[in-house]
Amino acid sequence: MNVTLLMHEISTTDNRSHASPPWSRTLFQGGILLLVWLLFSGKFDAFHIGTGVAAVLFVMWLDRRLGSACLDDARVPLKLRPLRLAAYLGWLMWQMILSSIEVARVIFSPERANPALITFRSPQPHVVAKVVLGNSITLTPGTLTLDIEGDRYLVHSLSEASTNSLVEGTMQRKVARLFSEDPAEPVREATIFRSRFTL
Amino acid sequence: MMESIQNGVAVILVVTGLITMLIGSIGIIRLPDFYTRTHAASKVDTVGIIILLFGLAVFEGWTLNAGKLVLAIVFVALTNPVAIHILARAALRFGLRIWWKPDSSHLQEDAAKGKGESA
Repeated sequence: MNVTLLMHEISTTDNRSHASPPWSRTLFQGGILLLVWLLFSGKFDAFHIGTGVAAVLFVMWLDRRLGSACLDDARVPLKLRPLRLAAYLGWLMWQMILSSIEVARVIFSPERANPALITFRSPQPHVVAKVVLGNSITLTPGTLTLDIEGDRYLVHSLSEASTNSLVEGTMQRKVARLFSEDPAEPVREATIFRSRFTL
Repeated sequence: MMESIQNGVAVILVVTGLITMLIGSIGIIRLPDFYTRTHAASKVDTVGIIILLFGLAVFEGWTLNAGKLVLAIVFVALTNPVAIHILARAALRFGLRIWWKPDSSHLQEDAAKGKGESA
């Protein structure tokens, strides 16, 4: 498949929902935001609380205007595994450091740069898992999530090493295992494009 | 004694964070196109700012301010990748060209390296 076509196909689909979230959620969110504000400010006079309320109202308005990001997935209940999450975060930090070094090496010798576009399918058990995977890919320098459509990911990668580590699928497997005991195959149909026209 | 160790660790972390961010900034100048620059500018920076804030938290010790700094790290780590992703996706949808390594155009390397083959 040709990259231009692929990008066209991805850029013409847009299925975000623009429905506003229910009021109960907006109010709950406002309450939490106000709590965080009070915690951070630590001052309880009229001016500081007033500023906080104004800021919280502004954020609530912005959020309703944006519409629901639809993080709930009706099909599967979200089960968090705190231990695995902690282990994953530790692993992610380590990966971030390793790949920062990789990007630094590319910066100091740009001839190492060999950008690639990678598409792959990674069926994740939950929408939140998708978000975590997309964010993790972006956070480890060298790979950058360009688009997610269904279970299909489009990733820009800076160098050979980043490309290989992404296609190995270690991260995809770990994210899937955060949310499900027996995840489906974490990476499928991985394809690497290294120039505008490849078969 | 404890305090000087704490300060030493804090200084090392802050300086490491600053150097990381400097490297990211150098990357903005040296790399060839928007996408590769995004890798350098925003992501190396994310790591740098996390190290820097962590250093400041160590400097503060076990205080409320350190807690706030740790929360700042969490927010940076959560929001930075989203912002980067949105920027890159906007660039892609706008049709910004991707820079390819010049001598790789003839390689036609398109190996399906995935473990599974079926759809």
